[in-house]
Amino acid sequence: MKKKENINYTFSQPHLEQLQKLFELLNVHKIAEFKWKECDQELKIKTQYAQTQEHFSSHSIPTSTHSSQPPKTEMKEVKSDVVGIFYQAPSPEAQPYVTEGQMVQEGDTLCIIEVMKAMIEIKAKFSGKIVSILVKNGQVVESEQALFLMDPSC
Amino acid sequence: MKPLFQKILIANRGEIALRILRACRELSIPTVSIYSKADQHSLHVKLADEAICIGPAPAIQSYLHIPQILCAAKVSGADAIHPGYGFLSENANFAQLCQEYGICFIGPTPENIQAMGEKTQARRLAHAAKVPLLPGTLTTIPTVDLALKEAHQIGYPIVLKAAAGGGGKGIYIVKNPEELKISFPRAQSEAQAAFGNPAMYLEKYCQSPRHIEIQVACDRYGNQVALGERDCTIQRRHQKLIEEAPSPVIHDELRQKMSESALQLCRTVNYQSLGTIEFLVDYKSQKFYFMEMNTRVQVEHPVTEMITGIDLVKEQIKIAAGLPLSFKKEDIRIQSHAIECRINAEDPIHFTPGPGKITALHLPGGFGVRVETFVYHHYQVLPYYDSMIGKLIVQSATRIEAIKKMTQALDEFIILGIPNNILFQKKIINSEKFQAGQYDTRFLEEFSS
Repeated sequence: MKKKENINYTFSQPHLEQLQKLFELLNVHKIAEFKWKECDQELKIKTQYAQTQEHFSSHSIPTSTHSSQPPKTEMKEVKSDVVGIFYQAPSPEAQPYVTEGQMVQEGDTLCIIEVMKAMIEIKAKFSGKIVSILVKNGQVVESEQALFLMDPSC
Repeated sequence: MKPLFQKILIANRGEIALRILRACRELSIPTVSIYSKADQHSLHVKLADEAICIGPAPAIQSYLHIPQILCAAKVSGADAIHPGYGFLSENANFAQLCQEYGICFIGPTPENIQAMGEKTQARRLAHAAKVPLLPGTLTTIPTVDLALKEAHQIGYPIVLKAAAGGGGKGIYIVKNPEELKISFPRAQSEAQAAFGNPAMYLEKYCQSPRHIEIQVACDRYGNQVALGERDCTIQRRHQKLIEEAPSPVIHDELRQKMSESALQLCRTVNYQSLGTIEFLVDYKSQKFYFMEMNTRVQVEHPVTEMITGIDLVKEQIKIAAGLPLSFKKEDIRIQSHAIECRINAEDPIHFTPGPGKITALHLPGGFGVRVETFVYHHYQVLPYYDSMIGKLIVQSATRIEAIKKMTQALDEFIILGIPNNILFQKKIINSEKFQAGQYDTRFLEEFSS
């Protein structure tokens, strides 16, 4: 598992320069995850060190200066309930439960987390589109780690 | 005295690897541990004379990787492999390959494993040995239509079982033809995924059974001894949680009959090692039915060791080295009671496993208290392997005293940092039903609800 370092930042008016500086710092210190929240604004960055892509949650701060309006859609994360090994399919030969861009219904199985020989199915708590799969097949995931980014408005 | 083997490779991990390692030490046999990359901080690695990393964390790439294990044995100069339980312990192909590579497999012959591994074949052998069986099929059932026909003859409810199953997995209780139609294909595909074999067979469902097994030890010279029973009725999801011996519900006459049946089955297949014959027992009618035979050392073997005073793992190694049994039937004197509680890293309500770091650990002790575990203070319990992290075994003169001792020992047992079932075990041990000894395999369903 990747070792995570945490650094706390406080700033009230983030702009491009600050964000660039922030990205540099994250890179230099190999920081896996960065969260910032103030009032109704929230910024969340996951770097390559967390083996995920960076993404922005609801009311996210965009990285460019010209798109200061809130994004049109509100993405939601699907998190793991347990520590274990992430599997996209029920067996190595089988098709994955879901792929990026796929629509899923509430209750659909999205993946399996194998923990101590028990197979725990992670199901969709709401319907929507799988925008991004944030972890790799066979990767160890921690409890509360985001597995999927979903667009419930689709 | 010349050691029985030059060196033993222990093809396992966790508490059983330590158990074997200790037996080897007592027999003056050097040990080689194998380990996955994730297990580099495990005690079986630290305590062995040599340790060889054989692959990454997933068992399929390490503890189940036959070529890697055989290579490790060859490069380390081990002339015997002890497989423990689980992993490759009941893999006839592995036992055969060991033989071909000139390595002694500490267990029964590949033929013995093969004979008992396929459950319908085991049923046929038991039938031939006149061991009582539950009504059911003696061959696998390939289609749902045939399953419906057989089930009608047997009478519902029935149990649909995977022919290649084991460890309580691949079992489906079916109450009527409609359920069978739905369950059959599902069970087949689950069996294929879990065991690589979709074959199923049917058995009459026994409504309120006890799960009681007979421990046997057999050598190459036709000596076969039964070492009494273990009552493993307290189970969750068909997996054992508490084991004890003697069983509180069977009489001497039944014990004799079960032991004789178990030995008869061993004679039929010319069995040569430690083994366990599992039975379902209808304690009201005192009838028993063969379920399966485990051709390896059992998790709960310490229960028998405590009441007989016989070190089963050492005996197993001696048998494999070609020595005759060190005891006879008349040497087995059972005059005390032993109970084992499995300590699992799991939430006791939903039984969801919970790996993580042990932030504090205190192990119980005292006269007649035995702990078999591989965890230590600050040990990181891994998500890759079984949730059982230890076994607590107590022995006392009577069942009542053993229950008191177990309560005391569970009180002293502290594991912090990860979910565990210590308190849950204490609740079971102290329940009126457990203390009265009157329950069946549905105990936990009723206890938890």
